[in-house]
Amino acid sequence: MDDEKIIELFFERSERGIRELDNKYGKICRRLSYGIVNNRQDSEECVNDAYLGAWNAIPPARPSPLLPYILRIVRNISLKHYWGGRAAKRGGAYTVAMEEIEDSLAGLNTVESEIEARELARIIGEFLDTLTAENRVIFMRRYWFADSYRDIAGLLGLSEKNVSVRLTRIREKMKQYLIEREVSV
Amino acid sequence: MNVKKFSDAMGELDTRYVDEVLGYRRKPAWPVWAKWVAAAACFCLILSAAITFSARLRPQESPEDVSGAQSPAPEPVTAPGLLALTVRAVSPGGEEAGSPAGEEIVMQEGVEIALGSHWNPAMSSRPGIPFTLSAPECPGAAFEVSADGGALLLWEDGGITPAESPFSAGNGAVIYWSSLTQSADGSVELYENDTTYIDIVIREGENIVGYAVVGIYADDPDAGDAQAFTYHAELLKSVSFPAVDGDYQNVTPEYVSSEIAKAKPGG
Repeated sequence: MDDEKIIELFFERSERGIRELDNKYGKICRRLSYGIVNNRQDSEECVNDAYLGAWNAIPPARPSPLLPYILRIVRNISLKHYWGGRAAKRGGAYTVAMEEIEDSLAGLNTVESEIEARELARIIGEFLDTLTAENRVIFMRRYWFADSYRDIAGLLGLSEKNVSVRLTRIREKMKQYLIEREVSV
Repeated sequence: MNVKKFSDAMGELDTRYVDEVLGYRRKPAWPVWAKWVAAAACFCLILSAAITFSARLRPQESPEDVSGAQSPAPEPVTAPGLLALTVRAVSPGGEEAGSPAGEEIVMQEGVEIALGSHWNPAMSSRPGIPFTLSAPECPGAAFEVSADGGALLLWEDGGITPAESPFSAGNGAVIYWSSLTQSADGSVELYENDTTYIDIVIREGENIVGYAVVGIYADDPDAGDAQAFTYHAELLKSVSFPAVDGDYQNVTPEYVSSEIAKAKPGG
């Protein structure tokens, strides 16, 4: 079923809309959530909560395209779960990804005034705009979607080693970018 | 370093970065063997020219010679295809590179192309995936096109016409392939096979002067980015039958059918 039809079902307050949403995008939603919370049951709960969030937001919202919209809700709820300490195990893909970031950006907290997340997002966005499309996708796959090196390599037709090397360079480049702008996180 | 703040900031990123990831298709790889394919193509060209030239030099057989035992029909002389098959492919820089609909490129034999992505039978402004057929060296060429799945459509003067399979298209025609088929009772069905083959026979008048086979492959929505209705295409084979001694060769539809079948995996 196409996205517009699903949204129409939400507008009609038909619960079939949620079933169709799950049929179409449930797999990718669960995968994203599992990468963050590292637990099947928890990820299932997060995805269900995200569907409820979408149910409450549509209408009046009429997101187009629908997939990024629902993924953003899934990610936010999963991260709330993760940072709230309710994630069963902090050993999943997201934990590993955050450890990489922590290692590579250590030492950026020497400046007195800390930056707000929204402002940091704007600067990261500017930094992403300096990358090639492929490197940008690799970065987002790793730190937004919490994909493993293997998954990224498979998606982009690269070797895992290549993905690893590229991510290391991108992190180093981002660190330099943030240092030049005197960013403290 | 506060990784939570970094994580929060990632969540605040503009949606276009997420859109880009979901719509990203890897660039069609130029395999290592591509240069060997190119070299082989050059070799074939030289070989076909040599065969054509030697055929001209060969003395005419006398009537007595041909009156004896019947020999098997000779294989037609072939040369690289004369079909220029244009598709709208994902642009090399990705969908965000100022060309959301992709760019027009001419398909090369054996090279897989990620088609202009996100064609969706229900939501797209186009009736299907467009293929432009032309044979610049044969202005009078006509194309007999058939597909073993989905539907072939023509989109002219604002109207969409289902095309019979096979149907004949003129030089420069644009045909659309759709995964939706409409049955006689008007119901619409989704063609769910992963692979579709489009067979193209090129004629000048009654004479067959070439053929081509295109494979269309549905991307696996479970492969990571879950975009339905995205496809790859590959020109599996494109062959022409050049004139010998200034005359068309006697190429039969049966011969072309068998060669087209061989060009498909498992054929």
